[in-house]
Amino acid sequence: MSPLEATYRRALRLYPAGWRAANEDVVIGTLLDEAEDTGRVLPRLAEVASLAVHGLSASLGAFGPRFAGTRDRLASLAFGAGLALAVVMFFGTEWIPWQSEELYTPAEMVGPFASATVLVNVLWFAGAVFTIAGRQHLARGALLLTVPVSVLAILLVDLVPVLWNRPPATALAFLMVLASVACLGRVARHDMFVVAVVVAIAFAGITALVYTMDGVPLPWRPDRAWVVAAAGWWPALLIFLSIGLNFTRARTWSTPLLGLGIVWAGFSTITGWAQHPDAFVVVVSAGAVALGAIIGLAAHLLGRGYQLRMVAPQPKTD
Amino acid sequence: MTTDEVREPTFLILAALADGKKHGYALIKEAAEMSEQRVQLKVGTLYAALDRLTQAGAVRSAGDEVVSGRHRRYFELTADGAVMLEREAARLESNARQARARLKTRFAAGGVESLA
Repeated sequence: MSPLEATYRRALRLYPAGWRAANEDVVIGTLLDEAEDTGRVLPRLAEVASLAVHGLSASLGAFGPRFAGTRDRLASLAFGAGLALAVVMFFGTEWIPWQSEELYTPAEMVGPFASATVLVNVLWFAGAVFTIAGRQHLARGALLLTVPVSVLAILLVDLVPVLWNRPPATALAFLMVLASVACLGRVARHDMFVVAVVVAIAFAGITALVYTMDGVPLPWRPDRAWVVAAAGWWPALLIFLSIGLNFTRARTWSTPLLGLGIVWAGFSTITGWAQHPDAFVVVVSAGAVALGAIIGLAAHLLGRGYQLRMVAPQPKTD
Repeated sequence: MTTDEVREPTFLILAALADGKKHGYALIKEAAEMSEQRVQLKVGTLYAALDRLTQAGAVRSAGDEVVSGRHRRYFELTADGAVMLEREAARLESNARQARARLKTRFAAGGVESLA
């Protein structure tokens, strides 16, 4: 094999294996025909670059259709989770008339709301309404608008401290990530609402559990730091749910759940550290998630084997 | 694939196949010749376009052969490809006619420099 041919074959490695098996020799033949006709013994850089670009493009294109289902599920999942969080934030922390204690002075509030976070919540609600109406583009627009609104809500309060209360920056950052992910694919209305309802109910359940347990005196940790650590339960829950779905072969759900769980884990750990910067919080929240991730990964690998056995060809009976 | 998506390299490939089947390097040479050496197709671009055209049903493989140890694959235009080429050629002709008509109006109005 000439050095010229070897260089071209290396450049073709960026194409998908299936494409190479069908076309590599033919493409090499064309490249060598062209080199011979023009009297070249060295490859043209532009030709190699062109092969690299088209090879990558073909590889991504081959991956795209397989990834599309998972990407759309992830978008639905992120939209549902974000919507549930927006509802929880709206009624749980932003809508002040329902608060039992007087937390803020009227000057610090935005009308009856605690902070400008309410604008982000409303944009999420608008996104849900547009999705119901089948206007995906408008829904994406509303979600993408939450990003500059969130940033402005945080930055403006730094410039004018008396404007309103400081919005919860970590929660808003998490919502920004969810909004961005939700815009990546096509959101299915049914999936989005199922996820929103499940997350909202689970959120209420975990919150109730945390408050109940908060009243129980724990000799090993008398302060509220473990409540913050409980935030780590969320991603752990998602990851364990992903394991269950993996065994039911619902991989288009289990993989996005695993991804969301890991992203959520990062934010939980940051929130926990910001509120209680001690090793206990990080160990409990990150430890729960790491355990979930390890078991989740193992389950995915086992699940793959399980699925391979399920689709193995049956012995011939004739 | 819609007519609007037919770019010049793709158009030249279709045109090169209009009078019979050809292999990869023959298509590159013919595209250069038809465009008066303006379009020099790279091999990666050629096969990406052929993949797209094959998927669109405009082109199909017309057999492989080995010449001097090199593999060659021939391609030919399908009936759909011929329709696509005819439609695109008509569109380009129509656009060219419209452009020329407007240029004539511009020159007839006077006070405008000629193309020469």
